[in-house]
Amino acid sequence: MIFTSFEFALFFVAVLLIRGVFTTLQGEKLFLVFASYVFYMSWNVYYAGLIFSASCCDYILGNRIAGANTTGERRAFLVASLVMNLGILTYFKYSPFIIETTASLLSLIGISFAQHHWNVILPVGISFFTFQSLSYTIDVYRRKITPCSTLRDFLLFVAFFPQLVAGPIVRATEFLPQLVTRARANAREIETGLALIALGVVKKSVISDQVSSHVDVIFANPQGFDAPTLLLGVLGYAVQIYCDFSGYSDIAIGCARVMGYRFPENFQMPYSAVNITDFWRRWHISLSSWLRDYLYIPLGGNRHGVSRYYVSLMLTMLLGGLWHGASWNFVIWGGIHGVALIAHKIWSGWRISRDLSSPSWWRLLASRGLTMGVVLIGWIFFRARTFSDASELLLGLLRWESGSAQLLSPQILASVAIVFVMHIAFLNNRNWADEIVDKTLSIRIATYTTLLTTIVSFGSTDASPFIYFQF
Amino acid sequence: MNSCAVAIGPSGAKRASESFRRIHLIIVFVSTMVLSSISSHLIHWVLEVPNDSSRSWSYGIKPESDTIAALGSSLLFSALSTKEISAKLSRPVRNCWVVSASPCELEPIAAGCSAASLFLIGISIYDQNEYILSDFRSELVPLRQSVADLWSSHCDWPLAKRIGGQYPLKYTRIIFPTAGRARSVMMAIKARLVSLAQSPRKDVSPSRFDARFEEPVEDCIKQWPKGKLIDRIAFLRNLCEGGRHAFNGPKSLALRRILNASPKNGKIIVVALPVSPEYRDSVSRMHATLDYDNWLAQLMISVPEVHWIRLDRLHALNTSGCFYDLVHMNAQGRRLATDFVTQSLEQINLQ
Repeated sequence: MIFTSFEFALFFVAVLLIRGVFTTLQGEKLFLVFASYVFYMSWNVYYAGLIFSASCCDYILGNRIAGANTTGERRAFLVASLVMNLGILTYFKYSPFIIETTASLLSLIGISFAQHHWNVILPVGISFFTFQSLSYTIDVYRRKITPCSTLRDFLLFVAFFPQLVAGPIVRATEFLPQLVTRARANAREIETGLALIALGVVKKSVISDQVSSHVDVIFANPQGFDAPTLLLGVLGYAVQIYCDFSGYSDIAIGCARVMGYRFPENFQMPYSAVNITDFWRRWHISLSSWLRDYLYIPLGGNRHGVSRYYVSLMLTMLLGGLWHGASWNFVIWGGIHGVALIAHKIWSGWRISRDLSSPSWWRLLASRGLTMGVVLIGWIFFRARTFSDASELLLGLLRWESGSAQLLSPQILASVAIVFVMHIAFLNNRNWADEIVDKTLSIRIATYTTLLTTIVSFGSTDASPFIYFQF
Repeated sequence: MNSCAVAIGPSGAKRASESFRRIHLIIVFVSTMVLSSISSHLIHWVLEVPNDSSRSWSYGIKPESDTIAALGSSLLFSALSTKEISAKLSRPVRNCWVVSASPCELEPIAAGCSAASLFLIGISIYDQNEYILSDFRSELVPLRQSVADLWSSHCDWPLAKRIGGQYPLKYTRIIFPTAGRARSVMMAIKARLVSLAQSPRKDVSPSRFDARFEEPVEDCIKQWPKGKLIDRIAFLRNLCEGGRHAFNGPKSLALRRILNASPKNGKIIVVALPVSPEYRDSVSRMHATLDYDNWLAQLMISVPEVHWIRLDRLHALNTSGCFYDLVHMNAQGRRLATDFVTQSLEQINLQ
């Protein structure tokens, strides 16, 4: 059930209407658990059992951690939760990759073995719900939260349908307190939610879905196209993935808001970032903050000297890359961002950078251009099917040869122009949907009319899955 | 004023503000819907986005009882000059064209051609592919028929959802006529921009401008730049879920129904149309072409009373030089195809 499909619209309206029938908070939450599992079962019936069992285990382990008398016991239960969640993730997501890599390494020393075809379907959103569940047990271990009082609330926290398959990764500290009282959105929140949903649909159906076919063509055959086409393909992908994922997040946050729940922000105009650190404060915020709190800081962060600091940073980015998918391309993508982050930290420490810190338009332009360059190189590895495809594309761009096939897609050109103009025009940390509801009636009507007309005139009806569903 | 505020109290003021906000929300919602609907109608009207699901026109004069009904998609009418056929055979021809038509959409139209004594139906590997859906299916095929066909053909769930999803869109289009027509809107904008720049338009389907397909297109797919060819192949592959082909779903059932009804409704001649070699190599590929051939062979055996004209087996038509895009024939192909069909019709005992 894709957010931009008719069936999801029907499902969501039905959930809103039926939820209103329940007179007790408990009944309402139980219904939301049921609806969330129905939503997930529309992807795969059997894997709903996987989420249910993993959630039950983490609920029990969370209670055991809180009730344990010794640190050793607490640690043992936490390790059990880590092993279970990471074990599920490894089995379903990384097993073929591990087997393949091991086979390649062994073949280097002359040992070969027959690889069996790994015929396990990747559960949709596995990386998201395991990380979410994991954050709960870690927070209970750290005594940041008290364990969840009922299994029903915990099941709802893990499986709540707006964020189940592709985030944002909601922390237990953010969501569980919202389950204490009946969540009801007021008129302002409903309007904010609907505005976010409309914006998300525009990003997904009008921009991402319209450029995707052209981007796919270019990335499928990088050696066949000339350099301007390749550049357009990379820019197109940057726009596609931003609109696809932030569009999904907007719809997820919007749906939750209409129901009276609040999810954290996931994107804030990432392509207006002035440096790579700034980029990671704006891109997939819920993941980057998760990695910071549960990986980077436990690895030592910046508290144990410069070299440890850089190692922690690099490891976090490499694992963050691997989180996206079982492929060396994602590791390289993480590595590129890791190197760029370290380079930025070194640069920030130099005196010259402080001398250059006063804002001027050309410095701003240069820093934005450099950041965008790094991000675009990263996207090449992120999107390409294989390492050799990515290298071909990168070399094609560096050689800047013309004469091969040219494909200057007007859809990509228009989308790139629109998205980058929006990023330049809205440079600050603006929350558009929260701002628009406080404008005058005429501005609001004009804005929403523009959004809706854009959707009904340029929106794709073939609701294609969101890119992040595969992660 | 102050005493009033005190009398209402902070919670009362909050309630009043909330009810005021709710009224605003309703005003905003209703206004947005009304204005968006007007905008959509305006875009539809100004850009002249095509919304006619089918079109019919005739050549020749009466008697109507001697009419040949030609039914098909743009593939049939780009391949055959029915005007020429009508003149050569001295029989009136009634043409019924549906955008991306398949037997599903042609079935209700065929039922409406009661005066015809001969039906000329165009099919191809492109039109018969179950994964390629006509944008106008929901307007021509009743929902009950679609559900029954999906049920009896055991279609896969994603395809069933795609077909079923067209019906809510049909009603959405009453309020927003551009809904689900993004491609047509963009094509219309492009056509407008090109006509403003006053440059000759080459890559827009002639159907929009030549409603009766009377002017054959001289262009040839061989002249296409490589990038354009790759892009169009990718577009067609996307249209059928990444190049998927199937010939045993609702389209096949509808064609069987049309063919089985032939003794009561008049003689039927099926024209199997070819597609360009580029389409066969990059979109349908070997296995789908074989599947199509097998499906067609079985169908030919099961309805022996129907006549078949296999243009797809005509060697002269199986070259890129006969097509102006991946599936439509150009002037050269049309000349060859029309001659061949006319000769075949003369040979077949029409009476």
